[in-house]
Amino acid sequence: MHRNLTLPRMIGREIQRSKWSTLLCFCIVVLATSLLAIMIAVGRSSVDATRVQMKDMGFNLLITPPGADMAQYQALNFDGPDMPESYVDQLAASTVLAQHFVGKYQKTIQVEGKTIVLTGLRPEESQANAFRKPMPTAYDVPPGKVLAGAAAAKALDLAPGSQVTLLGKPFEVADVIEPKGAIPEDIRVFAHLGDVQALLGVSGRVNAIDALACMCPVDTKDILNALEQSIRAVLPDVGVQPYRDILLARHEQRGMLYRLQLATVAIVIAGAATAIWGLTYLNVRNRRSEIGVFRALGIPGGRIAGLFIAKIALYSLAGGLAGCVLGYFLAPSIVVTERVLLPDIGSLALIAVATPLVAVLFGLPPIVAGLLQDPVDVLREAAA
Amino acid sequence: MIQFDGVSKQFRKDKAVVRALEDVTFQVEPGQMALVRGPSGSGKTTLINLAAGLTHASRGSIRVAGTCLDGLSLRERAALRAREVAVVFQLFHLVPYLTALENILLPTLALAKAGNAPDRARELLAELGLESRASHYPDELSAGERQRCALARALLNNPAVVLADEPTGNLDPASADTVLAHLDRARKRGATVLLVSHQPVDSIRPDVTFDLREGRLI
Repeated sequence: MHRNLTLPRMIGREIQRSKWSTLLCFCIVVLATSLLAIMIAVGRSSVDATRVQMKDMGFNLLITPPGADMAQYQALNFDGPDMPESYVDQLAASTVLAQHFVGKYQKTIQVEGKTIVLTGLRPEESQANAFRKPMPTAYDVPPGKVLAGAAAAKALDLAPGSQVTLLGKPFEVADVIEPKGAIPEDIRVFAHLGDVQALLGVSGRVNAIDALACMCPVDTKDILNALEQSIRAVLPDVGVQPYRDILLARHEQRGMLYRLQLATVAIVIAGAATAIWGLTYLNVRNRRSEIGVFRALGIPGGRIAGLFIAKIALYSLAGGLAGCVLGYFLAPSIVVTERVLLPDIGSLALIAVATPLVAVLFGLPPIVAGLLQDPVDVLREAAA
Repeated sequence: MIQFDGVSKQFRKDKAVVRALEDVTFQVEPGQMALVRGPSGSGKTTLINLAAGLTHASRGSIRVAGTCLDGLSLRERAALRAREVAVVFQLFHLVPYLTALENILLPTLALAKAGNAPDRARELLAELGLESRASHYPDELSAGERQRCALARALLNNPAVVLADEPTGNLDPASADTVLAHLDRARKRGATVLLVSHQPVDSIRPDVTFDLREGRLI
């Protein structure tokens, strides 16, 4: 029994024959997909670096108790109303456009005749549905210890390991915070929320919640309004005080990164697609008489197109997979941020699956054009 | 059977209307060979293309292998060619990346099932003296071998109609005689053979001969 001629066999033969042009197509796909994989790594790493930098800039959203007077608040008079500590959990369990909730109770007190802001901090809560785990709060303080702001430490002559008595209870100074150059940050003395609640007799209460508004979709136009609406949907009566400039800068930064990624991806895809289009066009053009003969033999157009499409699908699938692997391993040497986040498996799988589809899509027009040519013209030209 | 009834074909070339065929009427029965003679540009290839359903007649009616081609879609005409009609070209038109055997098997791509096509292809290779060339590529074959290979490809599915467009135009006399002998065999097996040539064909005796001049049968 002799072997029959099948489409896969024909495709194999044709690839064997046109190995250099097929290799060129394969290399273009490898280049494009590896660039995409690297771009994902660059994007992820940049977003991560931005996130860390922005978090270092401090919170950009303050949630105040219902009825809080912001004028008094800004005058460092924190004797206003407070709210249940459970509000922090409610926010964390919701899908508001913010993250990193830190409940705190703060009060301006006198210590040895000096004014400080006693600040009780609760460990940070992140949204339950967030893709990141909570980051440690910059000022995590264990019970029985305090962290002193630079100005407060200077006024009270505090140093790491020294003792300070706050409202009659002694605390050990765990550390002194670097000067921030801002009030009230430099005159704060941070303690564990439980300690401060006990000192002030406000168990289960907080009078401010710090948060980082970072979940807004990058195309949100009025981010301030969108943020307020999302929080009011969970806690209708609280005050929402965004730190406008920090928040907008962060939003703009995220938007810029997103647009940059989008533009780069679009350029890479457009470049690769144009190259595939051009090479397919040349391949079809070089094989015009072959298409004419196939038509003369009565081979259906779909089957003829299948010869070209399968070839494109084959080299773009192989190129896509190779490009993903190459991009994955090249990314660490190209990403410039301190912490490198490699492309995630989901994105790589998407690239591997989408590459043959995109390649076929862009290879299709010259194939269809080739099939639509009059076979009589094609055969006549070949004979000429 | 091939039947042309008042067939004309015009097409445009560089804004001018070319009348390739004018009111052509003839009939070739099954088991007959018709020879159409005529100089270059007389419309011979157009006649073959029309009979193969590769192009539509501007006027008139064409029946091939019992099927009227008028109004058939591209797909229907392709299916007819796959089943019943084979074309042999002057320039062979072998696929360069396929071996001789694979080129002969090409028409099976048009069919749902290849059946015993590989065995039949081997038989044809043997009949046409190409057995030792089965795994050779077209550029490794002589012109005569290529045309015999193209002829084997045309005969693979035992077509009811064989259309041969100057099949000996590029061959030496010995090779030309071999090809014509095999066309004659196809006729004897019951196929309708339409052979067009501008050269004299001495080694076979066609059943009917037509002369074509400037698109008209005379």
